[in-house]
Amino acid sequence: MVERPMDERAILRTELRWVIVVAIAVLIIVGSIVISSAAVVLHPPSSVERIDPTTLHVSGEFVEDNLGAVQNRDGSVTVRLVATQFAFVPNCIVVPADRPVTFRITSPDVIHGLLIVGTNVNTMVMPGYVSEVRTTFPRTGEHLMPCHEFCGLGHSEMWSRVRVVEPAAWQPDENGRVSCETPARSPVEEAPEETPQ
Amino acid sequence: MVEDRPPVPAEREALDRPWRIWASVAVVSFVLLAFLLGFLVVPERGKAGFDPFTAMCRALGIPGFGREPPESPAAERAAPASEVAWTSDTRRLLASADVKQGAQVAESICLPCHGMDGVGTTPIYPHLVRQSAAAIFKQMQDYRSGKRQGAQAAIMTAFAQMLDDRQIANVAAYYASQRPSQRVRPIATSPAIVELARIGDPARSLPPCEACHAGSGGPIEAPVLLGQSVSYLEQQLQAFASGERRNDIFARMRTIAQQLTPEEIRGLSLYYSAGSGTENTESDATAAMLR
Ligand code: HEC
Ligand code: HEC
Ligand SMILES: [Cu+2]
Repeated sequence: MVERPMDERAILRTELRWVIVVAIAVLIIVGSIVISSAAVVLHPPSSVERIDPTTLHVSGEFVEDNLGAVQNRDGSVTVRLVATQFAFVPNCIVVPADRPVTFRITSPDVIHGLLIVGTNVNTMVMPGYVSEVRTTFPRTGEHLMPCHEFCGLGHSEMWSRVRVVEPAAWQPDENGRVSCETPARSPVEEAPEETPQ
Repeated sequence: MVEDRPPVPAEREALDRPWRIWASVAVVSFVLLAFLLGFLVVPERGKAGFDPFTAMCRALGIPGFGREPPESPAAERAAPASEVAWTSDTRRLLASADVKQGAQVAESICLPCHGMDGVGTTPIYPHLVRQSAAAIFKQMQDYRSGKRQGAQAAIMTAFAQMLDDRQIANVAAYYASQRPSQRVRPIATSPAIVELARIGDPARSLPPCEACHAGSGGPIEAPVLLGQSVSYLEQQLQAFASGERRNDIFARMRTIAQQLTPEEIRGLSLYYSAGSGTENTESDATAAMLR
């Protein structure tokens, strides 16, 4: 090899240029994560919660009778759901508009996805973990809630409805629950129903 | 060898130093910033209420730091649809079942109705021959605990209560080990029924029956339907639809059966019956109607 001293400064300059390119790429990625979390309120989970997927139906908060929308003692609203092959349980939920709603969901079998169309609610549902999402629905109406994580042969039939009603029409029963079967006790006579398609 | 390397000239070292310092500073501050953003600022803006260390451990899921699940008083009062859970204990019990002892139980109790080969002696007694051990085990447990009601469940409750967990596992393993003597095929009644069974109906969020009942996925306790009598299948679907039978975990079958029309229930029962039990007069009428 020819002993030719290289110009150190030239090498340094080239390195610097590439470092700048890489730094810009990293900043764009991190920036978009920060902006989406701050502006569009898409958060990474802040707390990992584990749960035994084999005994969900026997004890604990995900037993069948405890699923659906409920008003807690402090007035907040929690919706508990189970995503199972091939349905969300319950398959229809009612929530009030303009009030903070917490979704808690888990799976006894495989990975499913929770997506409420037209809102920022979007999370994976994994067996063994509880996924929690907090949101507020600004408008009344009906949203589709399909499973968005392929879960088996019945995946394309796995969807539910989320009905958002006026806060005054959301009247919990004596157990604090509101379900789609509860007759809507709306103070105003029935607003024209949006027809599901 | 380290000594082989020519010493770095002092001037080049001097030239490199600020570069090394600034590169280290940049990397360290980036990692710190990312840590702060990822674990503290983004996950719990504003209302954290706990120190950074706890926040990090929570986000990483380190046991002991997570939040207590919120209270739900109704959960304690709730009655489960079925007490059978597919825990490792249950699976071990099934895996260690003794087929010979199961055969003795079958001979002394089940024989008159389900036969030794698991073929129901008349159409009102369901076949056990194509069922998995898990399916038989789950139903026996539910009969015993009274969770399975509706149709003729009362007959089975009495027999199930004569057995303990191990005997149930043994007899389940025995019937699961029986092989059917003949192959059966579903009866393609009408295209709409075949489609419901094999493709489902997305508009009504009805998954195909095959997704769970063909042994190729879905809940492990789902029984095989093929070959049961029309009257038995129809009875069970009606019991799910009316809510009389409610031992299906997470209402999987109730939700589906409630959406089926009486004609669909009849058609699907005939489809899966594969012609067995059609000697029953009621089912003859059904078969005639669908023809
Ligand atoms: C007197 C007759 C009779 C005897 C004896 C009997 N069974 Fe049954 N078995 C029935 C009837 C009737 C049904 C349907 C019950 C219903 O409608 O829920 C049934 C249902 C079942 C089912 C549910 C099948 C399914 O696909 O869901 C299982 C499992 C079962 N029996 C197992 C047994 C075992 C094991 C024994 C013996 C320990 C036994 N049976 C003894 C009459 C009997
Ligand atoms: C999501 C899965 C799933 C789908 C889809 C499904 N089933 Fe089921 N089915 C089950 C499970 C699980 C059981 C057992 C319930 C239990 O644990 O008691 C069952 C039980 C039944 C039984 C009672 C059988 C017996 O031997 O006791 C009938 C009949 C039945 N299903 C018919 C159907 C028909 C018809 C369809 C299609 C319209 C269908 N199922 C779709 C999961 C499913
Ligand atoms: Cu799914």
